[in-house]
Amino acid sequence: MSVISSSRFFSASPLLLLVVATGCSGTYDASVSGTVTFDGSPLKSGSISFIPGQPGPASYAAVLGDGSYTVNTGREEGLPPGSYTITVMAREKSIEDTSGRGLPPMPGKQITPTWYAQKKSSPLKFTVEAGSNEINLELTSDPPPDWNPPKRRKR
Amino acid sequence: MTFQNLMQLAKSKMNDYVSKWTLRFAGMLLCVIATTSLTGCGSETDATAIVQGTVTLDGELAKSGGIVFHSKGSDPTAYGTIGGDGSFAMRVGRGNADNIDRSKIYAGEYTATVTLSGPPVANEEYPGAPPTPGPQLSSSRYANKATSGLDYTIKAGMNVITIAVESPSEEELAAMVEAAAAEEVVAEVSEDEAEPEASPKPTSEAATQAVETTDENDGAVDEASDAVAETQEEPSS
Repeated sequence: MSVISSSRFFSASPLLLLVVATGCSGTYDASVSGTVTFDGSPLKSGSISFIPGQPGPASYAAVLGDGSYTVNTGREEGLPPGSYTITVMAREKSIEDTSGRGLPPMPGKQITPTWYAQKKSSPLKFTVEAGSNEINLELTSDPPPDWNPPKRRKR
Repeated sequence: MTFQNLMQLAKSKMNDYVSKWTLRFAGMLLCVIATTSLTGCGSETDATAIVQGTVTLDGELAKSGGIVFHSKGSDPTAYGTIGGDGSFAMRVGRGNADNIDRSKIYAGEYTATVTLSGPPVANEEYPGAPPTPGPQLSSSRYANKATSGLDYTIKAGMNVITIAVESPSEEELAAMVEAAAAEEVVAEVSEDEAEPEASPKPTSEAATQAVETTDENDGAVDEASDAVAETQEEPSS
């Protein structure tokens, strides 16, 4: 009896190892990369957010010097497939505080229009399929038809 | 007792022996599998949760800084370092040495605090001295667990979160300017005070002077040691 049970254990051990092994991988089913341009020329820096239309984590990408980007979720490359609203925000280099008072730098001038920075107003909506996706974001200075500029308010 | 009976007895003893041995072996194997599976994902024994995410500052990816997860229960505090693309992975202690992104923390309720700061600035006044910390980029309310408002429920397995923080408010900036101005005034005052005391030299030099003059004149010792005391106090004031 005990011999049988232990042999059962042995047959189960490869399964156990497999579970352990897969437990450590866990990547996302889709990947997205592409380039971002504004009025035809590639952005040199900036932040891209992939905000899911379904429950799940938001994913992000930093724009590299040549305008290219690759989406990451947390520390992993890729993201879950699904529908996403994409927001983009790029600023000119921030102005360092030279007074020696240790103040934070002044944020640089905003390059990309504000409607691209908010989920509510961004016209960039894409469906990400399982596997690799190429999404090239072509931003323009022409506002979308339903764009209402936010009222300026003092903080 | 017949020969057959004897054989049967031997067989059953043998069976006992075999089963005991196999059980022992199975136990050992279980231990090996258990330990390898643990070390494969980090050596934290009861930590079951992976926490990864992204920190944004005013909607843009943060570039550097640190995150602390304070347990609302009694779980160990977890730490995260923000990479150049705003991403982070939390860890307890040194985390998973093989793959820091696979570090595990304890599942439970946490309040997070976040501090974002700019790159350290080289010390121009004293070359060779350690660089002064970079400017604070995030509002200090995120650095205090009573005011951060960053509460998270961490479950076993993969947790992906976004931590959105804002830069210091106008009031905070005004307070920073005021503090810097007050510091400058203090520095100027202490410099003025130090001037009459025959050029404030580094502490060690002043100390050797004090030792040297000991035999010559007792009064000079007092003067010199006063100067030592003052130069030592200077940084704290």
